[in-house]
Amino acid sequence: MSALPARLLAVIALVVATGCASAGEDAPRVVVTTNILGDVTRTVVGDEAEVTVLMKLDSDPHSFGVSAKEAALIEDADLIVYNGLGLEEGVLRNVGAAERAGVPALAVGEGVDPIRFTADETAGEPDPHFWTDPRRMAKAVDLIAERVVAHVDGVDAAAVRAGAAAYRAQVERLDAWVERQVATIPPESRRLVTNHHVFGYFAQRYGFQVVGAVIPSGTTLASPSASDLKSLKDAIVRTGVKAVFADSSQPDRLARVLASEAGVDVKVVPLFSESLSGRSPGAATYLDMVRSNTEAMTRGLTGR
Amino acid sequence: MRALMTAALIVALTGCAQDGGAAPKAEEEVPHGYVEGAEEMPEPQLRLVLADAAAGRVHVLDLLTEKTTAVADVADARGITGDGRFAYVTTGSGGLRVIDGGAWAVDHGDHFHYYRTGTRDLGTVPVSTVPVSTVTPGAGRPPYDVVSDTALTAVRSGDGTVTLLDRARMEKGEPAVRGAREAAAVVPYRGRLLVARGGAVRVEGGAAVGACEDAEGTAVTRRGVVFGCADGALLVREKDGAFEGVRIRYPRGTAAGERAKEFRHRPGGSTLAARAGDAGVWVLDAAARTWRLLKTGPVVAVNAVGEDAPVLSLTADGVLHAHDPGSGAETARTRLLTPPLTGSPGIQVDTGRAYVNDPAGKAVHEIDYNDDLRRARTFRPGLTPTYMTETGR
Repeated sequence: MSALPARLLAVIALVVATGCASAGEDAPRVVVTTNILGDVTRTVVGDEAEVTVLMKLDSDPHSFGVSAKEAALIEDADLIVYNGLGLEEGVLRNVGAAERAGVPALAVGEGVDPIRFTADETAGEPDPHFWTDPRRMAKAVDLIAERVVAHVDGVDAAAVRAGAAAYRAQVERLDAWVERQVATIPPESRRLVTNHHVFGYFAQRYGFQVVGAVIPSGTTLASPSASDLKSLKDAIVRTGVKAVFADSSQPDRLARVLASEAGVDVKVVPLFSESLSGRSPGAATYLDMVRSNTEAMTRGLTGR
Repeated sequence: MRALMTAALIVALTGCAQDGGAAPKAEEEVPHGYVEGAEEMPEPQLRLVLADAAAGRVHVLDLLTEKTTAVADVADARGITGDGRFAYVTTGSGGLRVIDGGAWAVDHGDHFHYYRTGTRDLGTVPVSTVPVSTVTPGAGRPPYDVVSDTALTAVRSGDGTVTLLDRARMEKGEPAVRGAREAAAVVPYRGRLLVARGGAVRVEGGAAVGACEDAEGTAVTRRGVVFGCADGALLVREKDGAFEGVRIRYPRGTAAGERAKEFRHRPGGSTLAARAGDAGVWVLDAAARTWRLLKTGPVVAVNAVGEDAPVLSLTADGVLHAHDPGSGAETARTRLLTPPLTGSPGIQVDTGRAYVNDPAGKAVHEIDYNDDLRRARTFRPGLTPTYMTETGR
């Protein structure tokens, strides 16, 4: 009897080791590149598959990439969900290699009728930032659910479709809510003076005009001249907006400088653009992010 | 016994389920765009590395916070050069001290990413004890010329030896020698080494890309790499892995003593400035492939902002000048330093401002070159800025 526990332990250890190894390899796994699509995919898939998101919170989808370990996860995935249209420059090589090796991959942006940039050197290129239009995201929800059902063995198709339908309904309610909020902004005030380049879809969906501007940075803001502020001032004067939507490390200082040096009185309001956030409240999920941006724009442009 | 086995299995299975669960462990994932110990920022993190030769100190001045931090004690500094992140201080004993300025920018073609981390003293790089048969041990001596790409840093010593340093290891705080060459100049560029030696520039391990007698002075621009040669410049470009050289000759009648030996430019710009002996300032437009001589007379320091933007020069009377690179006309001037000049005043340029160190005045001046050389700010960093270089751009 005294020998048995030792043998038993050995058996247990073996079970633990092999059990873990096979669980890691065989559990259905969806790998998602961006954290926005990661949130959407997790909500759709629920507990039916393991969803691994590569892009960290509070980071940049253009520049993030993967470690060797994450590259192996991509190669072993049952399905890769990525934004595409050139967004994730840092991982496209890994995704392409996995696709060539036979891993199914869904480029969500390509399936949601992308619009094309019209300005500067990127004119004619498809705009990858489709998530700022919730109706396109609703379409994305269906695309993701279909692919999960088709390619990920072991998932309960009915459960995935039910998850997608429930989430799609939430996204559609969000779209209707944004429309009601935007309706409180006079049409002539629906102008986004911004250094963000992601709101083309939002503008098209809700009838906004995006006006690009150069936002002065740290050293020029310290002691600015008229030429440092010219691009932004001209855009503000031309559009008559009460708020500009800019990434700035010193939004309050920028507003003060615009008032004192350029004679324009605006608020400087930050928006969430390309990443969910763990640091700043208001963008823990895709739905939260769209709500927060809509509220910030509505408040800023109506002067409330 | 069976019950025990079942219990063990349950433990094993639930254990695995937790391990393989949805919540990823933050410490296991190392995203690629993420740089260890560095923070990505929305705007350039500009800093000046300042060396006080007499006091033997090196400080870093943060241009956003205006705070100065002591980084290293370096006795007998004789010069400084930088590559956008690291500053290299030459000392009288022939050493090359490497300082991590802790701020840098990554060029992604149509946009940049900006990072910051702490400053760090990497110590003295052993450029004078390179165990390479063609190099005499102990031969390293100033002045040094430093060029970097993302993989390698090439340090050229005054005796004609070039030491190659592993950049990835420098970024971790460890200066590590990867090799050495005897050459007039070596420029790491797009994964290859461009080597100027014996009247020609060649891609190491490949063919010659162009003739270049008496190579001296190099600059990396978005239009290619510029080598200073006896009769002009050699611009080396790369396309689809193939390198080609284009010669840009000096205007007829250029005296030998007037050739450019040291190029200065705003990183990312394709307009270069260089002193032209006592004649004035050379402006090399790497896009149009033309030289222009600004007949200013002798200058102490030069730099160029870029296309259609001013060429800056400092004269011994302490006056800073702006010239239009197209017409050659002077567009602005301002009395900045009080003569007689001491130390080594220089001009650094980024996309927003220029900086001039003022050793006699124990100050650094920030200049708005788009606003008639307006002095935007003056910093008093608490030491004599004998030498200066800018990082984070």
